[in-house]
Amino acid sequence: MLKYVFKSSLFIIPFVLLYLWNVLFYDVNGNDLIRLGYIPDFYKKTKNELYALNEKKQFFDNFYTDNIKANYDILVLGDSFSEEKHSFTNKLAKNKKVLLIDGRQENNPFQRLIYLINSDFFQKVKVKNIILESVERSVIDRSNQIKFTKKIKITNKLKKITGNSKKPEHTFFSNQALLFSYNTIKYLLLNNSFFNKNVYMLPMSKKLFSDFKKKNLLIVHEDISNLNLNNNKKFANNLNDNLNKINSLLERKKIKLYFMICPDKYDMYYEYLITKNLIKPKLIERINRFNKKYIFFDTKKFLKFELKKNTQDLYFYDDTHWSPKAVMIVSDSIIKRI
Amino acid sequence: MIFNSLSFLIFLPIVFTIYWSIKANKLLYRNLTLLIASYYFYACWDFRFLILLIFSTFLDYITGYLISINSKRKNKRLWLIISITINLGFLGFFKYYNFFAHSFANLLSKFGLEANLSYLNIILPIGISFYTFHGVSYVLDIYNNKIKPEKNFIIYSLFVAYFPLLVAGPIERATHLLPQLKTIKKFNFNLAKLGMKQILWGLFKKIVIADNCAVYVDQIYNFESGHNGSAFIVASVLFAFQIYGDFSGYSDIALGTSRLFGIELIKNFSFPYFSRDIAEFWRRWHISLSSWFRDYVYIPLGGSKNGLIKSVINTFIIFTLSGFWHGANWTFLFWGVINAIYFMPLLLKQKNRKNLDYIAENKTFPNFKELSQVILTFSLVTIGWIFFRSQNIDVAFRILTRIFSLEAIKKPTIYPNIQTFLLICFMLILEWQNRMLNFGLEKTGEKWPKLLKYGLYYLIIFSIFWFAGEEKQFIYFQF
Repeated sequence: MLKYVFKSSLFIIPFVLLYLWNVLFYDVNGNDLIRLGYIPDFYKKTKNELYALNEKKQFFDNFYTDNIKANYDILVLGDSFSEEKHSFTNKLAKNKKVLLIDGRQENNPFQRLIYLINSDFFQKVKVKNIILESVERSVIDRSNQIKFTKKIKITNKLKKITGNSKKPEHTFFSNQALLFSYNTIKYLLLNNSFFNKNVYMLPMSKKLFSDFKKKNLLIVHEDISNLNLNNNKKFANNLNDNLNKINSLLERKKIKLYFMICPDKYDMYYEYLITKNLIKPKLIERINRFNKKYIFFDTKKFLKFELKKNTQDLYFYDDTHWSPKAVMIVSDSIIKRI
Repeated sequence: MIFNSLSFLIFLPIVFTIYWSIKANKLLYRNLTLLIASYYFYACWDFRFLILLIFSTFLDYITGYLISINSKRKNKRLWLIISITINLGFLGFFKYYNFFAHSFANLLSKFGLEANLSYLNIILPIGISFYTFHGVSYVLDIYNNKIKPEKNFIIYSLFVAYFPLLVAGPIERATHLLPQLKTIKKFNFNLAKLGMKQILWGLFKKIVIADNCAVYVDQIYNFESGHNGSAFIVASVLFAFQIYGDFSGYSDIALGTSRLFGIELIKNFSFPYFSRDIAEFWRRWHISLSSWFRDYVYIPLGGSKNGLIKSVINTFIIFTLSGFWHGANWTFLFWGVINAIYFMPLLLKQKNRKNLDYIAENKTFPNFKELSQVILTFSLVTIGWIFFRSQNIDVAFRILTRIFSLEAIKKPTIYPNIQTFLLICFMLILEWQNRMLNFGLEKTGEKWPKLLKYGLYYLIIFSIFWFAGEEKQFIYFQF
């Protein structure tokens, strides 16, 4: 029997060890680029310092979970950049009355706003200003999908949303352990790499993240793969037209529209990337030159100013989102303009 | 605790170590170890239903004993009826109450009547369809004087609750399993090695084949109106492999696990997709269930001994019951009836026992005729699986209408991953090579140099990890 146990172990133990290594060092609940890229987390200390800058309390009202008041200074419609306690929404709400309608009924913030316009929402809830926010890599795609005549009731009387709320966990029979091991080797030894078809690592000329390693940038694949869409002049014009049209509809209701793009990390740090022949993002610069009836918050400009001062960790090193530092800068700039 | 989970991978070596650490002549302690492990295994699913399992065990143990001690046939029959009624009563209640209540209410509403029936929020105890049939076959075998009742309650309890087969079969027979539980066993290296290989093959079929097919199948079947006929053809073929990989994979893991303890279970699958006609398919698919229905329903009803008409009726009965056993939905019933219809031409022409040998026996490849027969049989079976997979009969017929329309020659609305097809081909090649044996990996690599052989095993293990799809429960757990 010992011979059997020994021989079986030859096949089982290597995979058990890989799994244990995975459990110890791969954080399934970590930031998005860590999870998507199956790479180790060497950024804990800085992240803890950054998290400490987050607000502890929620100041805004969430349409779906809180009691709604009759009027608000600002309605925010966006994506993950505008939700939760760590967002600019919460910072704004410290000084203003802010309502957030998140994406649980409609993921596309543009379309969400159209549904509200096409309903009696603004008769029931008085709003002075709307901030429409989208992350840069998705903005053109979202704009192209707008249906102005579609009507869906945005209601807070939904039954509890039962999405895929299963907590991520380490699964034994999965490619997690294999990918994590392979990607960790690439991560430690290479400067320029592609992890798991989702995450890119690109070298930079400056150290703008206080991680343990060399000067590099982690981005999500869509930052680059959506550039053809985002750099398309016709689609950019279409986006501007859509926003102008939405603005006209809101003007009739005496509501001011503010539009905000949260820049992709790739765009934010583009001038510091040293890899040759990378496509330059053009969308935000184009929007600045358009004839706009809405007000455009150029958050890239707000943050570029800080980058020039070599401010580190404006974005999380291992996440697609900006850090509390950027949130403070952006929300301060917005408050001055509203 | 499913077989492809980490908790089972921890559970199994612990039970294995304790079991074989006990001296061979201490059979009681070995059986007790397996029994406690089995109850723990079951309790991990839902400890509340452990009580039902134990009650069912007691019921059949006592009624089996009472049947044997009564000399009068009338009294024997009475205890038999009590046992079967209670067993099937529990099964009927947990599995079919809401189905019958809904169906009855629907029927009344067609006549403009309203039924005020209460629908219950019933959780189906896992494995009830399997362990109930164990118990029923035990009392029937005692009644028919095939076996004597088991005096040792531990051994009998282990027969009912033995963890490798508890939640999804195979449906064992007392005549086959009980004697093994009473035999002193020494550790058999070759048997344990075979068991490990079978577990590996079962994991490959379940995790790599079934779970990957499921991704595409679910996309198509869960959004029926959004896909065309050709997409449904692909999805239905993949479902055929999903259900095969899932169920036969589970059976391989169960049989392989049992071999680690020196116990051989009934073979449940014998490469059914290499069948040349539907009768051969049903001799090779879920063998333990079809043989159960043959021995305890078909033969007592008279089988084929009372003329062709009776034979036809009995065949319809067992296929319908077999369909119904799978679940409380008209689709399963319909699936059973379809298979009965498929079977009829062979029965009427008395050709249902034609292909008793192996396809291309002692040859490398099948001839053209055999290949055509295999493809035709597979196609008929796949059409039947459409009912098995669909939510209801209407959906199944809509899908069939799409498949048998011009939509079938258009491009599928979405394409599955090419790697899924390549992996299915790999599985079929290995299963073809071992089609005259017990499982797909049995003799593959046996005569190769050690390095190459071990390389193959590592490759299969690696592929299990690499191609692991989204973890899905075994399909047959819901039965």
